[in-house]
Amino acid sequence: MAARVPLAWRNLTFNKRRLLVSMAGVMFAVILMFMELGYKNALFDSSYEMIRLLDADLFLISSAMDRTASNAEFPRRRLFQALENTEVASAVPLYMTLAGEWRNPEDGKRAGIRVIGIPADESVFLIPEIRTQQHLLRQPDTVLMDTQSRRFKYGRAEAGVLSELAGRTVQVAGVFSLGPTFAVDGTLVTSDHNFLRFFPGPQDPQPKLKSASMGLLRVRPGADLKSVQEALRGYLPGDVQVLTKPEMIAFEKDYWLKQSTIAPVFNMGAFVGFVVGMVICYQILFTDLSDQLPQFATLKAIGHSNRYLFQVVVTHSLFLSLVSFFPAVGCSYLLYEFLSGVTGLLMRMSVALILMMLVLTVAMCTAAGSIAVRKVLSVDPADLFR
Amino acid sequence: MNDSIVVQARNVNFAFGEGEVRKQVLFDNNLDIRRGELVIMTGPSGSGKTTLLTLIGGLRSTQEGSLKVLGQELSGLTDRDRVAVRRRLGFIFQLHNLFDSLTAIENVRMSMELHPYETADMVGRAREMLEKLGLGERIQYKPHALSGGQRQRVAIARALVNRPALILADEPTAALDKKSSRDVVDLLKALTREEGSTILMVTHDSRILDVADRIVNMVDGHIASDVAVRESLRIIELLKKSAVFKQLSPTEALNCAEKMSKEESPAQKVVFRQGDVGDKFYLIEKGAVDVIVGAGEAGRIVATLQAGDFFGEAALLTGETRNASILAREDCVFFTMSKENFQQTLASSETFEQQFRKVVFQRQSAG
Repeated sequence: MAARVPLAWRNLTFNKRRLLVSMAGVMFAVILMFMELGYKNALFDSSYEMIRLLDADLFLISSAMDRTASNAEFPRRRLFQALENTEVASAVPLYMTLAGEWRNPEDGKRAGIRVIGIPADESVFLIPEIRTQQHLLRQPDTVLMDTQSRRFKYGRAEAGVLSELAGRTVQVAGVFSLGPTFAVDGTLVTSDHNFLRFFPGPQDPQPKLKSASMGLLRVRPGADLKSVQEALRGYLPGDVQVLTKPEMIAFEKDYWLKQSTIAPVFNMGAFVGFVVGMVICYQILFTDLSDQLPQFATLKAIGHSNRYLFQVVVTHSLFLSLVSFFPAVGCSYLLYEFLSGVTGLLMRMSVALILMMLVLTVAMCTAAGSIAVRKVLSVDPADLFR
Repeated sequence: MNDSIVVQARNVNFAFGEGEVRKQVLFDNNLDIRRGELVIMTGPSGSGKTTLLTLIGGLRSTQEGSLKVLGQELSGLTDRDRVAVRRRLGFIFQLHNLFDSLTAIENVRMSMELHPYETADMVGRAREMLEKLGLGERIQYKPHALSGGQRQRVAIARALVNRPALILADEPTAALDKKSSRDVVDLLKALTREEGSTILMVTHDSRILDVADRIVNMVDGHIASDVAVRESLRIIELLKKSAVFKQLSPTEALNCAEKMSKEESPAQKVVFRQGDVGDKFYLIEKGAVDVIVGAGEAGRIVATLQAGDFFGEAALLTGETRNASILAREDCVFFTMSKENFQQTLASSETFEQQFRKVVFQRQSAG
């Protein structure tokens, strides 16, 4: 069989201006999908970023907690109970509120901020800036501030900044980088003692940190994580759950995926992008084909099969999707970089995402192609004679 | 079916629509096209010629009657089988219908992809065909860089490149100027002559009628006349040389020619005998005959007639039996006209009839 004339490619590239317009249309849809899915992924990735950066093998959380951004707590005694298991090397409490009232020193306005209290002497975060500076928190009324906290809301994050937290004067002793989530715009880390100063609790006459937001357990080297987890589950009361780090991450993701209304919004956004892309692609192909109906009818008259015509049109749409896809990836990458910088959200262009988008883009264009081709398939070559 | 018959239509009817809106456009059409003929089909628009062309081209399903193309009966074929028939034909359309995105040679190759060529053969043949059509320098040009005539020549190359036995053309010169039309048609004719291909061409273009071997005229869905033009031209030529007929106007001569058909007679054959009932008028195209009065031994040759002479008119004029026998001296070709047509032709022009009777009277007296 002889080499075929690359009709689909020729038709795509013949009119350079039309090709550019077509590519712009498809790229628009692809970038739209990239943005929606990027936001969605950022939502997931940001939500568990903090968990990823905690130095723990196992997590204790309240059974009432449905995600880390909620404020359910559990009795601190559970940590001592956990230490009864000899395989558990350490059990560190972590205190957290999402509603620390922070005064923006730049405009004096107050806004809620996440405040995390950690024992100043324990290893809690894997973030180097926290590890090297957490000793500063032994000073009263000091905090470390996330530099990716939203500046318009909280002001500049710099060591030495003086402000107010929960009505007390506070000094920023140092900074670190963690990043916001969809639920959290900014983060402060302080010592457990300072945490108690800021948030003594309403009805506690003798302020003592009786309940914790999260317990971070580390097991002895060589211990089997699963069996330790099973053992803890066996004897700890039902008001706490014991999760491994991957389980914590999944737990967090699951919330945003199933419980939250945000993920479907982004999915819908991506779907709308897909449909818009399909319509654009259909319009492009339809116009192209309409201009060439007599040519296609001629192919049919001289004996080309409908299958061949289908192949030509669908290949045309496939090529269109491919030539548009790669520049769209480039543009999306730049936009991701830009938006990450602006929002602090984790907009990551992963290989998995690119592959998924490639599949979606090809599907979008070939679906449009197989709809547009019907016009060609239904053309009657007898109409060429008139 | 005779192998030399490329298209044979028998009682072909066709209607568009059904029920109340049914409109019959072809009525009882019969047509034979022989191998190597260039047949032009003319007729007013709406006369059904295009419909007949699409039926022959396997572009529509036949409804009634029999239609054989290249030995294949088309009635009752599935769509798939009709596509197979179409692949054996060459199509030329009013518009070139070339892909703007493809070069001349790629456009030509589009019709070759249906056939099992090797790439090198394919390119070579496509190039050769374009060269024959005078486009050797332009095989890599795209249609927008070619003139109208050149584009149509590319389209012709596309139709001819597979050496189809039958080429169907619909107004191939409609979009071309006079010079281009002439070039395109001459090339088409020369190339098909070379390959022995047959052409059926629908056209209104009177400038190119002269290339036709036959002209089929359709009126109201029926073939009104089917004239072998070459023969008609030959007849008119003969008529012009004859004293009797030279007075005919071109139209009268053509009418006359259209009513004549060709007959052959081997040497020594008796064409008719004295005393037979007169049924035909004869014009000698080729050969010579003896006019013999009397039968057997008593018979004597009163005259010898040559090409361009005519005979057999007396019995038709007088209503009597033949007044002489005619014997072919050598192999002869005659154009004959039936008695009815002969009388009609005479009646159509008074001066012609007078002239004719005068000449015939002179001949009688001489005899």
